[in-house]
Amino acid sequence: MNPTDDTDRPLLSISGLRVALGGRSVLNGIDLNVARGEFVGLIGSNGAGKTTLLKTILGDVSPLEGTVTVLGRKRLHIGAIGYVPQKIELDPDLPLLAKDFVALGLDGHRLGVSLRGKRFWDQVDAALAGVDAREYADRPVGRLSGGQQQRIMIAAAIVADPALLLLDEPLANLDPANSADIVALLDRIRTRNGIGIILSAHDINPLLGALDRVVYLAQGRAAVGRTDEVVRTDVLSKLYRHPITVLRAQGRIVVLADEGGEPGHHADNPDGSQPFPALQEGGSSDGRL
Amino acid sequence: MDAFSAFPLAAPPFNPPDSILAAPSPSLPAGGFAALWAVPEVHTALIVGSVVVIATALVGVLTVLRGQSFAGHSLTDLASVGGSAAFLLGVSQLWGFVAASILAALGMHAIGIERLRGRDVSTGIILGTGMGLTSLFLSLSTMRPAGGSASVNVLFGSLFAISPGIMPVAIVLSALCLLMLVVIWRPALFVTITPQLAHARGVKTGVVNARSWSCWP
Repeated sequence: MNPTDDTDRPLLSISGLRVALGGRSVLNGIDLNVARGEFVGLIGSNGAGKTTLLKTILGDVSPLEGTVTVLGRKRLHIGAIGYVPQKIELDPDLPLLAKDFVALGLDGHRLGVSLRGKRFWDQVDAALAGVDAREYADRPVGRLSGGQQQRIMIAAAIVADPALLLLDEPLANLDPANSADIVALLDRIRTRNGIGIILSAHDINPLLGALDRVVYLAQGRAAVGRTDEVVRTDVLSKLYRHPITVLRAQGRIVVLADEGGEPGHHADNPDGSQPFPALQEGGSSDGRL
Repeated sequence: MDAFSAFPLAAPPFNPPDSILAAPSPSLPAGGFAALWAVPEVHTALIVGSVVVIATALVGVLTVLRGQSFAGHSLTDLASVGGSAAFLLGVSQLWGFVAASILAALGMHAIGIERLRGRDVSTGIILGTGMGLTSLFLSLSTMRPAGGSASVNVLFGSLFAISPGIMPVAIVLSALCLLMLVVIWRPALFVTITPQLAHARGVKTGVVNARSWSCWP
């Protein structure tokens, strides 16, 4: 990807997007601009439309209305986007080494016999080094653990040097330590390669340190902005059309749905602080209604 | 000197009766195993069988990876629709088989055999339709004067009843299939393993699927 052209165009520009799947309206007016090298979190509960939005950016799903442009182009420019799907079940007997899997990400679109020289394999090796997967590069990809396979898939998505990397719920089945590892890894890839990253998640907490901006999806609409701008009681209540309380404790965010009535209406403590002081660790309730 | 002296490791642990070891007929030179090699139909069967096996085994790698073994197997039964139609029309049966299997493969792709859900149901329905059509053509054939043995010829051919003229055709067809496989291998593997990343990299998923499917016939 040449950094010199399209410098004045945003990496991704979505305006007025409406998408329906199976007759049901999933996205109802989404506007979003992502700049180069930005780390954007796509937060929402199941069925909110996160996967649909990612697939629309990729071009797998056609919108009813609205435009999606990547680097100023409506048609997908080959190699501009890398995609890491949520769950991939690789047959344990798949006759493919991990480095061959990554190699497919680089030239899998070419027909015929592969002419892979030193430069090709250097690129593959660089991608593997970027995800710390060099140790198991020569093992059959079907025999790796889930976490290792995930790293290989990230490597396959970045080996062709895309400008934008989309990840569909990469943290879904990971424990907190591995979650933090992957987020740190993605952040490193982002700063080193200048790739913009959009990743979808249920819970915003593992991403707090790395996020530039957040897109909170609910009921087909989105609230876009910095974390402190968006993840707030008033914004989320308007988004969900339901009273929400957002609490911050010990550097973590908890989003709670109220029973009813006015959003965030709790009697304050006499000193003006929130009435829920120290919360337990591992608060991962996340606006799931 | 018995026939097994040529194959010292192949001596059976029991005593075979003399009728097996003797030459099968006075016109054939040798007895036992050597009698097999002396028959020209065996050469044909060996060569045709080998090239078909090599092509099928390599295509089969992709087929199994894609979980389309049932659909792939049913293609051969669908090919008999073409074979029986060719017999009815008095055309060469081999080309009837080939044309029908390519058409059936493309047709399966068109109805979405690539989707996992409902794949076996679609295959079963098409297979039933195909077998019905085969029966129809065969029964129509029996109403013609020369068509009495149509069912046996079309449905139950024997590997040893192949005429030697088929050999070059079989070799060329297998070579074509292997050539197409070599051309399409990388994108087909890519699309099979990660369709979304393949799409992002610009692989035209539909075209690749259709072409890899048509390797089967």
